[in-house]
Amino acid sequence: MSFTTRATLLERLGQGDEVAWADLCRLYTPLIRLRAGDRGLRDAEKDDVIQEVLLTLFRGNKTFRYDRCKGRFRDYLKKIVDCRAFDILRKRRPDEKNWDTLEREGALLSSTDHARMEAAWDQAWQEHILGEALRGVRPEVSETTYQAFEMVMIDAADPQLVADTLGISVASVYMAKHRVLSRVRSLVRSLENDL
Amino acid sequence: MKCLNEYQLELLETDKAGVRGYLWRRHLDVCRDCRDKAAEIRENLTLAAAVKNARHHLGAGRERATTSGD
Repeated sequence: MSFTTRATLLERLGQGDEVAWADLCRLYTPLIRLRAGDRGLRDAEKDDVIQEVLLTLFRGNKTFRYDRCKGRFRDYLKKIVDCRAFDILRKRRPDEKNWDTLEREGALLSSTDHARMEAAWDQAWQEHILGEALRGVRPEVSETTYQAFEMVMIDAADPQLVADTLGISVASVYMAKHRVLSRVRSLVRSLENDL
Repeated sequence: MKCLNEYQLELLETDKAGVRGYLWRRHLDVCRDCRDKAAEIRENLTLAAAVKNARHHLGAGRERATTSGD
């Protein structure tokens, strides 16, 4: 997938682009699942929320129309997930609705939990952005450059070993690493602005 | 002296240059291009820390991408 902004993705969704739908599922399913879990939903319920949230995004639902001027996409997405999760919790049988049951099933309910949930969401979002930026930068650099970066940064391999493996100098390994990092930084910035 | 490369600048930034760093630092003091590049390396290293923290997640993503033929 080429590097696209979320705004572009949402526009493409609005035009019924099927590739955009696949991208949407790939990008946001893990984030929605995480948030739904923190709201105390069971696995089957999480799947329902994922489907409903993705459909909401796909349809550009009037209730949840994303307006960039009104806030970041990450907050918009969080709001939809929370609303759908609460809908499901409301529909549970009365004996399943009490706090003990919810807490036992992993819902984060206290104020400390709330801070933890927000921190988990922020961290997941940062990782999501980082992953997207890396996907975006990959086609922009040579295969060797990206491999060197990946071996050093993701696999935590020793630079000398990477240099020997790829048949390049250690200086080239560092150059590759920083070339990718510089580009990733720029993409992360633009994604953060976009989201 | 030639301008410093990423390897030298990273060693300087992370205090791992040892005695070699003495000459490199002197060059850095007089070369604006290298100072700019050093600032960039510094920012990259901050990002590198975030990448390291997310390594597990990013590695898993790479495996998924590989297995799905993406």
